[in-house]
Amino acid sequence: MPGPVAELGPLHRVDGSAAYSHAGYNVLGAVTGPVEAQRRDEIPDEAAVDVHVRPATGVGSIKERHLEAIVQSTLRHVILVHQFPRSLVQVSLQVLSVPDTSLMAVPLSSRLTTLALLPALLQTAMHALLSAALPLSTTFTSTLVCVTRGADGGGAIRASPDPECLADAASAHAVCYSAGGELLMDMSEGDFDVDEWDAAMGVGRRICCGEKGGRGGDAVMRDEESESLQDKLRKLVAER
Amino acid sequence: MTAAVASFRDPSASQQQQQQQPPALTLPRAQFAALAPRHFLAAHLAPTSSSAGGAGGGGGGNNAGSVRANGRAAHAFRQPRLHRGSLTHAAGSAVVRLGDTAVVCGVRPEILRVADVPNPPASAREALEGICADEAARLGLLVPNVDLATGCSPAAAHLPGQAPSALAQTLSARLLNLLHASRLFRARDLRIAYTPPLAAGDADDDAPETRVVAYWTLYLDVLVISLDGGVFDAAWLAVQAALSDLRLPHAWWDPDASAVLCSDDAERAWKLQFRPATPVVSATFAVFEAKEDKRQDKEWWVLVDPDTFEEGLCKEYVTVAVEGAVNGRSGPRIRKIEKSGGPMVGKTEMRQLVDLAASQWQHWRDALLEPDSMNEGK
Repeated sequence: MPGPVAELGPLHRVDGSAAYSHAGYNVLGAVTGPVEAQRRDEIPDEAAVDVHVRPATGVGSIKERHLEAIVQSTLRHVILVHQFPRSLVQVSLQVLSVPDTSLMAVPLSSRLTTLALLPALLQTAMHALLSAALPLSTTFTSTLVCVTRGADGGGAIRASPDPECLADAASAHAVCYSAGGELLMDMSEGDFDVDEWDAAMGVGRRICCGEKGGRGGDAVMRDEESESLQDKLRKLVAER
Repeated sequence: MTAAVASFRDPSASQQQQQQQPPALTLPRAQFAALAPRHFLAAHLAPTSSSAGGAGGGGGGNNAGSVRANGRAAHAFRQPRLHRGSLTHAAGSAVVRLGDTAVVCGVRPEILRVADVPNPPASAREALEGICADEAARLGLLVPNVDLATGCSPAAAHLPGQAPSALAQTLSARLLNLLHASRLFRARDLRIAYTPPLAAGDADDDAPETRVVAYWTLYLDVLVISLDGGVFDAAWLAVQAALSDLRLPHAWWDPDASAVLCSDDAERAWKLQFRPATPVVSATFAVFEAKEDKRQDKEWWVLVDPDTFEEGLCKEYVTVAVEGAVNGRSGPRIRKIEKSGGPMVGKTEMRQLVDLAASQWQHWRDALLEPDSMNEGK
């Protein structure tokens, strides 16, 4: 599977924008801000962060509100909101396309519609924030891992699973790690125990932040590029 | 107000009192909480921290000894109390109280005919054999809806006649995800199947094929009467209690009427069969930081089952859904972990939180098995 592709600044009339595509998910993100907030939105001592998620088809529903809440709480931690009191940072994320599962025998579960989409949304938001040059306390990267259970009961961890693998997996984990290797966000779903969760977080961290601090030896990332998402992000910004 | 009255009555006495008091600014408890809520809570959690230079109790998030402003220890849950069958016109209902949070859930079943589904999930045969296991998710057979009632909290966000707030929509989405992730009961119990009778002329080797003609759809309406934190946990317990209270009538396909008919015989009504490891316990944790500036002073606490006052001060939340008793084979099974908003809870803390959530399992199970826990006690 090809790695993620990101482009900084495809839109010209906003403060920052990014296009991101990975594993069949294409998301376009735009950041406007800090701008003046409306009276009812403004917070006296910090900037309000407003996230809008638009689905690929149809209008937003409760699922999008849930995604917005998760992305908003993650961004609010990263943006230095105390530097811009009473202002507003608006982040709009338009999902352009999702993998076509109509011909696959996979159930339309919340894993596919929520967990698999979340890393793409977070990655797009991060790229767009960097493009807008907003002051951030740290950067973050996000990925999806899943734990598959073989017939013998042994578990294996798969990184960036495709929809079929995701549907068969025992559990799925959307994780988001800061540049310093701290776990900022985790949405896990399925049937798992603490040790499996721990192992999944280890793999997620290695994909996001690279080998440093992580333990090697698992034969999980063989088919993946050795470059971490954090390295990719850094390279992309350096090029610009 | 009372001080003003006292001074009016006896000015000399109140002057004496003022002189005796030290000049330092002392505030009543409620005013301190309203003016500086963060310091108020921090002072409760670590009464000695100002003198001990921040070393008192904080730092690791594992300080079970501190007492919060609401009188609970940092790691103390509010025990749920519930009452079932409160609503006369719902097929199953429950009221759950978690401290000052009160939630009522009612289940309304409806029949969804397969002929009315635009794209049926699989052929009837596949559905019967359980190949398409996720038909409940695909067909949307479980429909939770959370309504934050007017006046459920002093916050002005819950006004009548408006679109559901972002909080209500998020809660509905989370309930739906957890309903599908936890698989409380077999989705195929919701099927209404029909086997045509053996026609007289047919050969006996060709048995008639059983087919699914309809599904039960369950509308789970959750109304939050009073909101004081932990609303997701309360709503989730209410959903489970209402589902366990649900009695579905016996339904069958009538080929002559070409319709699904229901029996009004109470003897033939049936209940959903839950998996033995249920209930699935949901527990919410909030991370409270003493200083709002990040990275300066890492003094923080994990507050178990936060109330509204504490939720207003916390940004990082963890919700864990576990099932099964604590002394299982390899720890509790986890159905869901939701963590967002901050970096404090890492791998070691999460293990502790999972164990804390699992410690609630027996309490929830008792509450669900007992007939009524709301009428007894206070």
